[in-house]
Amino acid sequence: MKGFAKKTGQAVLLMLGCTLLVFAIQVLSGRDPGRAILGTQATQTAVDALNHRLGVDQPLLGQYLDFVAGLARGDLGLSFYSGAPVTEILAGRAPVTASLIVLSFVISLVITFPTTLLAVRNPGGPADVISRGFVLAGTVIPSFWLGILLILVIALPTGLFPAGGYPDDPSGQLRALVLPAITVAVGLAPVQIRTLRSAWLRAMRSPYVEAPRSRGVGTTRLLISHALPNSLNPLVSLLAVQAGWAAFGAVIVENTFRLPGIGQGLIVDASHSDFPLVNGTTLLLAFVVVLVSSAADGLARLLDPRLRSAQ
Amino acid sequence: MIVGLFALLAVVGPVIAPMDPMGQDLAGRLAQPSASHLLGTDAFGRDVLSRVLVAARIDLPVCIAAALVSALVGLVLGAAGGYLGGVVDAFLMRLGDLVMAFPTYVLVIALIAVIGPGVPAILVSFALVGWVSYARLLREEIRRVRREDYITAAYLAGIGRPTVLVRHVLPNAIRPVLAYFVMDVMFAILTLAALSYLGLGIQPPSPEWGTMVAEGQTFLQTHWWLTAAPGAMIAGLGLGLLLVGESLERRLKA
Amino acid sequence: MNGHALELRDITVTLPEGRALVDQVSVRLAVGRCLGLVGESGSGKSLLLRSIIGLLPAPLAGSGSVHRVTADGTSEEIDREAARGHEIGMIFQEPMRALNPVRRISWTLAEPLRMHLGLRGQALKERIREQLDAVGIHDPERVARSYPHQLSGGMLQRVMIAAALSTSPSLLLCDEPTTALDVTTQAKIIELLHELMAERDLTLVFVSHDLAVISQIADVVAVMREGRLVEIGGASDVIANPGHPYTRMLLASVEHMAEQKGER
Repeated sequence: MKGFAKKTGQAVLLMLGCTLLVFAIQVLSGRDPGRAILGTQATQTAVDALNHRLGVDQPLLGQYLDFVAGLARGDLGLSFYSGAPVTEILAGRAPVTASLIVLSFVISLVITFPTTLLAVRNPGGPADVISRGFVLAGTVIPSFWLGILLILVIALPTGLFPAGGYPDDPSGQLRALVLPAITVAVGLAPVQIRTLRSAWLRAMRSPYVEAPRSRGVGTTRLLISHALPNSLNPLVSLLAVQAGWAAFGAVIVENTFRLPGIGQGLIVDASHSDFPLVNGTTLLLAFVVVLVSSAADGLARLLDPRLRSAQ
Repeated sequence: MIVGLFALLAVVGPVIAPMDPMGQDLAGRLAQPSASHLLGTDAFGRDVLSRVLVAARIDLPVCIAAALVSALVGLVLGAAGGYLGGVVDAFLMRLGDLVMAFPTYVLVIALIAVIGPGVPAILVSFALVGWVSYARLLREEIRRVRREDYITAAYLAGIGRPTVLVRHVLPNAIRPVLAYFVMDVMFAILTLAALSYLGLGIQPPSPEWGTMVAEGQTFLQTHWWLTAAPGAMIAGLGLGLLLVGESLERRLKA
Repeated sequence: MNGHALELRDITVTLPEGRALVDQVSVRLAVGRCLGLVGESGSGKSLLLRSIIGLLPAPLAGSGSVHRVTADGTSEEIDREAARGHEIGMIFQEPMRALNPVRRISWTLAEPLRMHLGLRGQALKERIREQLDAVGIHDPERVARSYPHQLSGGMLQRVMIAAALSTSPSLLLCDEPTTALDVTTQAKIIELLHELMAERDLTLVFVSHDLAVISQIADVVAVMREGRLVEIGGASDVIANPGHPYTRMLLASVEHMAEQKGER
């Protein structure tokens, strides 16, 4: 429980740090939200009035404290641009991004496990070489480009999946998410494969695999029942780190595939200087990452009886 | 090899580029690839081949600069943490953990959005994220040297820490740092292209691969090469850097 | 089984570039006896052992054969791959590392019983209990439920022995099984092995660099150096009256170490 308290404290600090950083940069940027919203044609009085209404002409410390106080009540303020509550806007966008990220992880793991299994069955063999080729390609191919490529070679010719947009019906939504999720997954899988491969091979060389081999257990069973459960911890820690990358990947593909999620919103909000929304988005993502990394910790504990009983 | 080719390209690109990369020819817009325009022309009638080649001149230096800034900040902070130890070290390492745990590039997007796009914003944001790995590398090296030589380290510390740092630690640290640096340039290329694609990196009309992909996307169905060519350049350069970085790492282990 | 023997013929282990780490070793050992293999680290004794059961680590290649010889002189080659989990069992140097950390003891013990003997359900449970009982574990239920990190080194080595013997092999290979244990536990494990040899007519090949341990368990001692057998003979003979200078050196170094321990 001590570890949990420490993690929570860290998470709170992280999130406060983020708000402070984003806030500070807004101030330092010297941008004028009223002007950004109303445009260059508006009169200075109108801009000032709007700035007053938005509260951005108040002393900085007061603004920040107001923001944090609102946060404690679950209130992220109102969007500068549309005037709607930030929480409502984000609640509309978050499910798209969340589904996209979850689906991306599922697909990446579906790629990672069989590929790595074939690779470690015969290290240096054909499957290993092919998987290494995939790792190299997946690392260097930019995800926005891959997304476009998938639109070009799958979405447009076959029509199986839409090239963009997000319908209202659940099955259509799922189809709309497939190609974007594959795009993000291809970016995630290479590091997963590298991590799992080296952990798996290390486990295969360990005495607790040699011993059952001496009892006549075959290679496939040694790989899956004996070595694999001991190779998952590095992968689980990696997944926690990858949550952040996946968020970046989601921002990119949401723009390529025109998905109405947090990422596409972030770019639009940023161009509107809609600080409360940008701030809220950053915070939400920080929160998600903290959540994912705690989940990864929990999973690691579940996988290893030594950690379980150390509690 | 590949990297050398690209570096060469960055230098001689403008010379061998068949056309002026900025020269518009509105009459010859969106031309098919042909003998005069090997990769066709874009929406402004600019020669795509020339633009793709010249873009190396923007992407490569900006990314090397970005990695250099990260390395510099990281090495200074790593040295500070490794040598001063104690509170400074603990603080820097926790900070590093936070940066690594956070969806940092999302923060970068937020920051760039607020600061406004452009090369300085790119350098600052990359350094903000990139310093952690360098700092960790150097710190580890310092601690290793200390462990190996803990008796001498005690009086060497009396001689003057900066001297020890320069004479003993840097020569050992330089190789892993170099290997990581190459990887870092690769990540920077990919990230810069992604940011430019989102309209937050290098701004049009400068030829930049990510920007070109974004511009080409509109004409995807009819003019796929507008998108394919710059994307292939990114992947090619990335692959080259990745292979160089990996072989440096391997040599390190051997 | 009297008069039967096991024979290693020309066992050789080579590196990919061709250098031999074990060089044409041939030994004959009567069934029910223990062969002690001694030598300094790097002498090839562990590789020889692994080669008997076909468990050489990846780049190494082995050749030679293992035969069962009857009293009338007919011999039959043992297929070493197939013998794993049947005729040949093996126990290891560090029992705490040779048991899977994420699996309960019962899981580890059940696996060969299921695979090779087809045991299931209650019969399987019963058999696991018997096995733990046979290696001198007094509370088999608790041990079966435990994870390796919850048990002591001596207990784990007993579990390893139970696992190795689950399919009633006739040959047990022991790779420094007492090295990682404290002296009292060592003695108990040796005692257990003695009992099992007597009960089951078990043949042992026992690798150790500890001549004291070897003298307690081995009937025949083979001394290895740089991949070759330099001396072989009855345990008491070799230790009391070493013929080869290398053996004398080994013995001298043991005495030297014993003296040093005494001084401290």
